[in-house]
Amino acid sequence: MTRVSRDIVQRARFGESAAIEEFVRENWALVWRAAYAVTADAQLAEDAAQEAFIRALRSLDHLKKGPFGPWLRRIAINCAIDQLRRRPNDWVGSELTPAACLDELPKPGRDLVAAVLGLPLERRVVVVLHYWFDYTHKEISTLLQIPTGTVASRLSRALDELYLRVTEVPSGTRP
Amino acid sequence: MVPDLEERLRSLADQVPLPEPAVTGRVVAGVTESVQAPQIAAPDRRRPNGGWHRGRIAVAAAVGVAAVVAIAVGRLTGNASHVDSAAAATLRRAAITAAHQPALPPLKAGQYYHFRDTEIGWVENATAPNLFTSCLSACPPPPSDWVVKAPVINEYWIAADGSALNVETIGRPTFRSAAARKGYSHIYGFPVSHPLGLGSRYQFPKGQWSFGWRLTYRQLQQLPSNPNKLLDIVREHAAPSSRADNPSSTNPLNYEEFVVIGDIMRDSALLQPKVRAAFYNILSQLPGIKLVGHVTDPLGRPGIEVSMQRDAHTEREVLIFDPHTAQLLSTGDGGYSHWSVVNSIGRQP
Repeated sequence: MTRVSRDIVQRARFGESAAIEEFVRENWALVWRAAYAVTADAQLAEDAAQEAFIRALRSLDHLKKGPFGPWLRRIAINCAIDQLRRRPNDWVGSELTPAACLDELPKPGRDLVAAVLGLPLERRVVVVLHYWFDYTHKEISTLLQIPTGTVASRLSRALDELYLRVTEVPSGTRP
Repeated sequence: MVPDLEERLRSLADQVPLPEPAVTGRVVAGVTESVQAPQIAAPDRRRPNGGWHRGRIAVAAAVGVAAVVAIAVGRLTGNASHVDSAAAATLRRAAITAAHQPALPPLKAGQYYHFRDTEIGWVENATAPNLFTSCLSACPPPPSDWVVKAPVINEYWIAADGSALNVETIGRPTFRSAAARKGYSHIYGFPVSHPLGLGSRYQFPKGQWSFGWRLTYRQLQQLPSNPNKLLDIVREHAAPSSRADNPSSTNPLNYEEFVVIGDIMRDSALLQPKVRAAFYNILSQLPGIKLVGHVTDPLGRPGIEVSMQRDAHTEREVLIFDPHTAQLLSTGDGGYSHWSVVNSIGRQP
């Protein structure tokens, strides 16, 4: 769980450069991972992460109670989806290329992470929101403005696709 | 099998690769530039139920002052059956008490408003004595991985021009267990009776300080004493973090309103007595508010506690006030991990 020094936050909100840097670096992994998992695009994730930190610092008054980490991550996810929606092509059905930095990951999870990031956009987003960030079907439905049934069907199709990608299934068989 | 795949998926959130360090640097620069840029003025306030309100006022004019009161109550509650009558009666008495308290004289040049806040936070990660971190309001309820708890005392000297001095000191720690105490002493190498952390001192330049919910000293002084108008302001701040305006939030609007009122009332010494009274009147009509009764706050002061539950399974917010002065003593989240406490209010050069 992310912890944040009250002194750093207070000084960051008033524009002190060193405090802003510390605030960003302290929460960098959480924000980046959320942004990148949703967009699977390094440039979009960078823009989303920056926007998320700015929004968080400007709206910390809204966080009066409740965990800081999930709140910040939710902002990052919202910013990432905003970035996808701002792209010139339609966001549903767009294909994005994952970054080539997966080689640094430990082998056991590498293939599956790559498979998730390689899913078509509409399926990938529901997978990462549901399995990585614990959003319910209803929350995803609200966030993406799609019916709950569509969330369920996209998840189902995504799981089938992931299963086929990460397992060596003999031709002609089904899991 | 797909269930196995789902389990594997859930374990992968932390394996999303991080980018090269230069990306972090660019984001830091972008955030710094944006935060340091002048703030854009806040958008116009929303006026929920404005048409309905105006119509009812016309009726009220015909039937007299009693009807005006009824409108205020009706607009505040929406459904009076959800209001705890004992809480409502107690808070209405507090409103009457508040209205009869003397107002603090306006600050003049060279004078400061002095505010002391004691927050008792659970510490879950202290990597070094001078790198004290607390979990603020993000503390999960015990049992969790917390090691020590310590009071964090903030004192503020605030001038009318928005300049301020903030001095933070860290109090003596209390340990979860003898083993935690021994381990802490071993790791940090100094007696555990020492304060946990070094505190800080920060000077806010002119115009940089704002009170709860970014209200300036002047705005705080000019808050309306009409409960309906005051509720508009409360809702302006509460709605964006509630499910009323934010689809991704699960917090009810009345819960967020309760939080906002507590945050503003921490500086209630600066509020006009009638404004303080109006806040208590709003609280008395908030759906879901409960009377807890006579309690002692974290600093040992007797008071009356009222609470607001977010939902059946999660945290609740509480306010503790002195029934003799209607001064807010404490706000907190149900007493398990975190308190913000108004400790003393006065003026100090």
